[in-house]
Amino acid sequence: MSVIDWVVLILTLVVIVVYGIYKSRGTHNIQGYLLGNQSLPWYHVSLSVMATQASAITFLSAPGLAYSSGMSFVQFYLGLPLAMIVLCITFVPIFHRLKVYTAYEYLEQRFDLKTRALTAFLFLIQRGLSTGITIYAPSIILSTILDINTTYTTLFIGSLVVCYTVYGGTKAVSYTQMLQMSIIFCGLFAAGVMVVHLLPADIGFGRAISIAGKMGRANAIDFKLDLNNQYTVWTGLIGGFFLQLSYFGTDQSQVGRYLSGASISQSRLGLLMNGLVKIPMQFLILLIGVLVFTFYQYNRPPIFFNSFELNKLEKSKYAPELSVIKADFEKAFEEKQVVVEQMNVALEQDDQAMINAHRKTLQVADEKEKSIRTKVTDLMVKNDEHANTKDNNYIFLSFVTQYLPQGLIGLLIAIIFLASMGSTASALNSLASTTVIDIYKRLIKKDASDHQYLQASRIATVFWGVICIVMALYASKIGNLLEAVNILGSYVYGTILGVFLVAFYVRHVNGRAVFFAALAAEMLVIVIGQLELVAYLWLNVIGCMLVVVFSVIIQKLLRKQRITIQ
Amino acid sequence: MEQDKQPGQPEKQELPPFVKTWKQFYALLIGWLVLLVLLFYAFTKYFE
Repeated sequence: MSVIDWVVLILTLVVIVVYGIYKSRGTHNIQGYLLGNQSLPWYHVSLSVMATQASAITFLSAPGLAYSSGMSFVQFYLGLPLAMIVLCITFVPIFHRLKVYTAYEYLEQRFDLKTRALTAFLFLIQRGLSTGITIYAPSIILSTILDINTTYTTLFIGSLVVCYTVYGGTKAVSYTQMLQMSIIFCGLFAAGVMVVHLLPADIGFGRAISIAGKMGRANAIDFKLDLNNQYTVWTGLIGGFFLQLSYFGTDQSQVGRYLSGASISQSRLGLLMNGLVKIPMQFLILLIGVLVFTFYQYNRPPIFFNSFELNKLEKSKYAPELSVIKADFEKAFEEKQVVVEQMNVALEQDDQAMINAHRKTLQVADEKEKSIRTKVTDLMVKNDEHANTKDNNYIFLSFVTQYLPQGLIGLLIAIIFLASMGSTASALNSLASTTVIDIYKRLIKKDASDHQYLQASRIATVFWGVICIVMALYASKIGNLLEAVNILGSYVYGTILGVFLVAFYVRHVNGRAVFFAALAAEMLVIVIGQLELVAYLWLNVIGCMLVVVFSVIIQKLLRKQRITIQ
Repeated sequence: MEQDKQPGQPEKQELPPFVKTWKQFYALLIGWLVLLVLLFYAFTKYFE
């Protein structure tokens, strides 16, 4: 990176942190620290909710995913607007009217203390572990790009977030997230404009998408009912709905965001605006990936986008084999370039027969390129069985650092830092809220002063910050920790959502029934998960359904038992 | 803009913008979702 890029990067980060601290000054009570005095307008809520959900990986993976397999990932978000509606009708009014600090606090009012403690405990374990990964994942990518040790990038991201989150609480999180999202939107828009600008003079925006579309990259919608296909309209609408509902409705990192709204209406409006904006936003991020794909039809891409892994292979005993594969790759690229140009001419002349003929040739060329890349990854595994053979996260950053002008590179690297900081800050704030409100205040020290609870919240934020940074540092030692944390989330989310659904919709079930139902469901989910009977994402649905069914059954049994005793 | 809520202050019952009731806003969001699916479908068909 050039000096200008470093200046832009550091300036952006400093401005955001100082702005967050400045706007959150004067936070002197627990309500202000954890809920921002419930004073924030809808646009704050909306941007905060978006920033919490969008981790750094969102901005790195999505363009890379569009580059490799097209735009079908946009369907993953189709259930989100529907989940927002259910949240606005049920969750938001209840949480606001009962003036709860955390979602789990409501469960004590509806059921009992043990149900509240159980769900809070499950949340703390799941969120505490996954936040480490939220810091670690972009750290490792940034360390590759910036050529800095992962430990430093991890410590830098982690400690910066801890500083402003500890000082300003929810308000600092929300204000920094608002600015972060504004910079992220501007940076991505500039990147999109630059990609089009860097294309050959005769290739405009529409033509660029047409060429990518002929190679299967404009596949935004798929109506086929295929259970093995991860991204279709149906998996997005049904599976996505359950996933988003459990995430937004029961994960305190999101609940805390919309509880800071000035009123039910402001929280509702914030969530509904998220429902309006999220899908087009993801579509545009994926579109940038598609444009980058077309760019690389005219400019030879690296054979593998993760330069760290490629360099490792180049220095190994497999270097001669790699050279042969590279030569094949160059030849295949040149052959493909000829067909791309022929396709461009056919599109210019609107010659349908030629378009169809070239489409087939292009698809074959694309597959050939993919198979050559597979040979490289096979070689990487031969050289080092722990090698990272997925380079999706590196595609967009590789393009940014190689082709974008000075200044914009610094801004886009800043975006990766900001996205990571936004979701980490929300997570730390929610972990502190749950620790203090659901555990400390309820079980350990019931009659402390407001000031003591405020201090406890700050200490809890530091505590979780340290845990998450240590987790992130430790993550580099374990290869598949990211997947392990995702699996752990699926073990827990379904059960928690099930408890909330029973609370809202099955009014006759009481605390005792739902508590034992949740325990039984959780144990069964663990058994099913350990036996690998289904793909781990299905554990969310199974856990949720089991809690609902078990609650109803146990409630009936308890009633029968009571009648018998009487 | 931002205004801190005082203890005991009653919850504001604001109406949504552009429409008269929240139900209409929800219908608007569902309509928006349907429109997006149709637009994405048209996008897929046009560029494939």
